[in-house]
Amino acid sequence: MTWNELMQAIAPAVKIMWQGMAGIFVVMAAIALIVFLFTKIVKK
Amino acid sequence: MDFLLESFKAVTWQQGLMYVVGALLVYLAIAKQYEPSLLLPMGFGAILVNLPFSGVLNQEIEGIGEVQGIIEWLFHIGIEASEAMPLLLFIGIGAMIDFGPLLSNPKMFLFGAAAQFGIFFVVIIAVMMGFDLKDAASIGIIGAADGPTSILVSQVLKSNYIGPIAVAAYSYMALVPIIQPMAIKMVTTKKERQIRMPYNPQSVSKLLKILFPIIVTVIAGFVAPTSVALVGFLMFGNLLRECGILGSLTDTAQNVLANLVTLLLGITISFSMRAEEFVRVETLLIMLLGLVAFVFDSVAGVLFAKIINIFSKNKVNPMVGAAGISAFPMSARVIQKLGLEADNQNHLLMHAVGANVSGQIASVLAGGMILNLVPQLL
Repeated sequence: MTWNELMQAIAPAVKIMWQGMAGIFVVMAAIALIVFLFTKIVKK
Repeated sequence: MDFLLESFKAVTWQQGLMYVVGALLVYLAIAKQYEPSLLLPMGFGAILVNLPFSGVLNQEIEGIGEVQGIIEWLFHIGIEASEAMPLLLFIGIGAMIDFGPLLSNPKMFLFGAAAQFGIFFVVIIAVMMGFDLKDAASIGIIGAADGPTSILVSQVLKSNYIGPIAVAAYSYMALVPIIQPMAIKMVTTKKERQIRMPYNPQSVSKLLKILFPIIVTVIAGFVAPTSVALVGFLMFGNLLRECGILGSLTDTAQNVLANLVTLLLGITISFSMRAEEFVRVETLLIMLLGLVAFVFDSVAGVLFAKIINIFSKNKVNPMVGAAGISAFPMSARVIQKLGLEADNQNHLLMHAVGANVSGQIASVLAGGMILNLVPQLL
């Protein structure tokens, strides 16, 4: 298998990786931010 | 008298090998106490389903027609039809989790996210090794370190390797105390392992604990709709616990429901451990890839913590990043132990518990992401 063929074969998996990790980070960061803001607001 | 020997003559070497595999799982469960609640039923079930003409599988009987077998029926109803068993187990798991240490230290959410990297890394490796995308994704999800998620994702994607995936997921969860120290020591120095982290938790209101499962479900549901079953059932169990007025339902979810489903899930998943499905070269590859997923989860968590340390004044002990895998509470205990080994005054348990519990949410999200993304690329 040539390098180009290998890159083409793994392209969908690489897409799943970066979109999957980005999605997880976005959701977890959003939840963390909401929790952080909630604790600040409730304290006030 | 030939009929007495009919079954003995029908045994294949592959079935014989599965008797050994089943016995090994039972041994690991009883003698070594590796995830006994799953490995024992799986091991015994592996023996049951590999006996020739076994009555636990559907059989065509001359003069009578097809007779249903109980394990095959349980598999079709409890797993194949709607993934009911893993999802019901999630209610019980959600009812057992206390998200307090995580809510009092919100930055731990990110460590849970980072420690899912191994899943996606192994998807790429599996594709390079020749597995098709749905099987590669099902193998990668072993890295979620969560049995129900692994079973559910591999079933929804109709992977050809549900049996090896389930065995790998549960076996490596039990081996976290062996796998993680090795992975962590590869990428940390003793000085880094000695970093102390004072524990000053913010107080967590009851209102936040009640709203938290609802918020998580809604956000995850909008971002990855296919994760609603996974995340929703986990958070439903947690909401039962945190609402404070459904003590008997919480107790049932934590004990009766969790134990009942665990018991049935183990023996039901053994349906995918029939010799013709399990005894293949790919099974060994899957075991290896599952190990790679676990190692890279830990490594990614540690490296993420090191990146945070570049920008942060209050240093994080990098080992806490490794606690972001979903193997709760083993991983938190491993980090506590490694912390004390490096410095006998260094107590990392509560930080590690926060990251570990975050990993439970992140691993379920990872399963949802896989289910969302893979069908679009098939």
